[in-house]
Amino acid sequence: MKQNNRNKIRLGVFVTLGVGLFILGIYLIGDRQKMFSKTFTLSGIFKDVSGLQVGNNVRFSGITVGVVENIEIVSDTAVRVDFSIDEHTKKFIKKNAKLTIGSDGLMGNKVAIIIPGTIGHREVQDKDFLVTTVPVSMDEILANLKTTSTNAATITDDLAAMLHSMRSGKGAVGKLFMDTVFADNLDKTLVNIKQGAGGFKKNMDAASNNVLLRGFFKKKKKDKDKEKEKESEKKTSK
Amino acid sequence: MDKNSSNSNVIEKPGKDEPALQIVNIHKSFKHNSILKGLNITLGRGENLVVLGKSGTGKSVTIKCIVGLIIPDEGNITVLGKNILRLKDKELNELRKKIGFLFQSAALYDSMTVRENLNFPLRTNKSLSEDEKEELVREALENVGLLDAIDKMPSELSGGMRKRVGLARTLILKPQIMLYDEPTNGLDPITSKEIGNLINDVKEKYHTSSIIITHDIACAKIIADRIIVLKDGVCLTEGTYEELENSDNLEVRAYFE
Amino acid sequence: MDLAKNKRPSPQEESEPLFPSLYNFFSAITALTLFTGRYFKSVLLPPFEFNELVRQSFLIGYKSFPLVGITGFIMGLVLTIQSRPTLAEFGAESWLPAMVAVSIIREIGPVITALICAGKVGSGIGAELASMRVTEQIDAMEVSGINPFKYIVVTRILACTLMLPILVVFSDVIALLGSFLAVNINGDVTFTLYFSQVIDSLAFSDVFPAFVKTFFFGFAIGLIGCFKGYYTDKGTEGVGLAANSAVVLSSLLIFIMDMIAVQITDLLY
Repeated sequence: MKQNNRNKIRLGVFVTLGVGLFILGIYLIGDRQKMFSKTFTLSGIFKDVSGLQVGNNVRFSGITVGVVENIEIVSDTAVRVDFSIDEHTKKFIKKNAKLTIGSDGLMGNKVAIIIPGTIGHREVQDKDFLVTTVPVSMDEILANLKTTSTNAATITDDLAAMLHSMRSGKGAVGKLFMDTVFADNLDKTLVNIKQGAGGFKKNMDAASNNVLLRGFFKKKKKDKDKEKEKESEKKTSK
Repeated sequence: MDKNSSNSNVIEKPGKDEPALQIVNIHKSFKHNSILKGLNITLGRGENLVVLGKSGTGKSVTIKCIVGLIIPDEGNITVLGKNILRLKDKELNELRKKIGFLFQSAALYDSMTVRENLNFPLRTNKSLSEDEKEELVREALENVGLLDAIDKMPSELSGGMRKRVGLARTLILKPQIMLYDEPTNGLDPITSKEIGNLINDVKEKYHTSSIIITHDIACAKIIADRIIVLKDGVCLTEGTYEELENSDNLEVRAYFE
Repeated sequence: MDLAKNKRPSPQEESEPLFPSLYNFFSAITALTLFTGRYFKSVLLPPFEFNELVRQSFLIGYKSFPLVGITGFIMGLVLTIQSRPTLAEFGAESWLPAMVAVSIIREIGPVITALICAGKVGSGIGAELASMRVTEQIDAMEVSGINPFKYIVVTRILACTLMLPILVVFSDVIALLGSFLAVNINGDVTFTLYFSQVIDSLAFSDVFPAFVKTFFFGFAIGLIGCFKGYYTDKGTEGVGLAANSAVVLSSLLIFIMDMIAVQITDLLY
């Protein structure tokens, strides 16, 4: 009988502990979800909540202060989101604070973010609506990324086409690089230019003997001769 | 079961001369194996009836039919003026308290002490206080001479002691009919004799009517007022010990040699 | 009356069935269904065997605690150590507590604990009831006017159903402690940080379905153990057989129930 009673007490302790632990766990999880502490409600109208879910966290200056309580579509362009916020943070949130939606790391859960308002405004009241800013959604980033990549694709396409036409010797640069005939021609041209230059010299020589230009050349020669004479005079005088 | 309901018109008047127990024409088969083929047994008040028979002749099946553990395919069983095949569960349980059943293996509850074992049949009885129950337990154990074993577990008891505790547990409800299933099976001759004497004591003290199933002829000699020999699911013969000992039937004589 | 009703031959038994194994399978299903129905009928109707329920709860719940605790601890430890390399590959080691917590609470805690209990408790019940049947203790109880189904079967199934959830709570908590130790083998995480990460990663939708299914697991263990033990019929050999098939069948049933539970949870959340 004594043994029996002792076993009953052991069982009682066992059951109480088990149930107690369970209730404690439930309480802690509920506490995290702000289910049992005093809260107030804030709302915002979004155009796009980009996958925000009921139960997601609300951040204010990077601190979790509440959870998303309800999401409903009001019209084709508006989604109303209600947030349940810890009463203690009420005095820090001003009337001109803004709501936006961000995410917890690149792949993480969505979070609602309250961007603090400016000092001087009054604090928010229960059931207030806050102004929302359009969040930079992952979709938009992806859309931008897509344009960028499209552009890049176009550029590389053009580049490829250009290189291709260059290789096939089209266009000036292409010719420059690829056309062997052109190179030959260029070579010849250079020879021609060289020859041309030689020819020019001859022409100039010829020109100096020309009648029309003789006077000019003669005068030049006379001056030279005079100088020569002076020099020879000097030599003879000595 | 249709046959039972038509047969159950048999008169069920209780009376002084009425037998304690009457089995009429019962049949029972398991799958294709027919065990009982129209057995009739009548047990008078205050009588010790020994049922002899080889293994597999349906002795155990018969007494299990009496307490409703097995339902016969055909036939009628009247216990203390009530047709047990027509009773509701609750009435059957009430009737069962008037029938004591000593199982072959004594069937003590392994997980309980001897005291708890004896208390078990009393647990539904709310008119008794804890002290009165304790008194009954002690009295029952004293009757079988095992009062010092009261706090032991069944696993600590010898075969004979287990049988005696089993008997004490059965007797604690002061039954009017006792059914013994091989009470001396697996016991040495001396212990067998003790059990035999105990069965006689029970009859004297509580005026019970008993059916004793056995193939132990020495035990039968001590306790039997009347003997029935079973063969192939029917009654081969019946009579007193002396009558059967001098029977012409070789099969019957075989038990006594 | 239970044995009697069971032994009364049904018309099908008269002739040889065409497909014996298929016939046996479906007749076993029918018997189990009837057994379950009888349990629900008996559990609601008085008299209630309260003392026996307490005794069985003690044996099934309290006595299984050390085993469940040790397995839970090792489970948390091993799971954390095994998951670390994979998470480290993604540079997500800081998610280790969250991941381990979710998998322990949702799945591993309930299922492993249930399987351990199927092995310990289920086989125990199967063997105990089978030996009670073989040594005629169940018949003796019935003959003394006490409903053995109520006294033996109902108390055991109910005790299993009520105790398993509690064992799972303990197992979960101990597994999380084991996981905390494992996290601290390679890194240095304070208990507070670990704890808040665990709590942060859990939601009610993780805890409640897992908690509800443990009741069903416990029920399955008790039911199958009792069913196999109560209807054993092959003498001493049947005792081992009952214990064995109780473990096998209840383990299988636990997995099947778990699969169904996952589907339902998926639909609801």
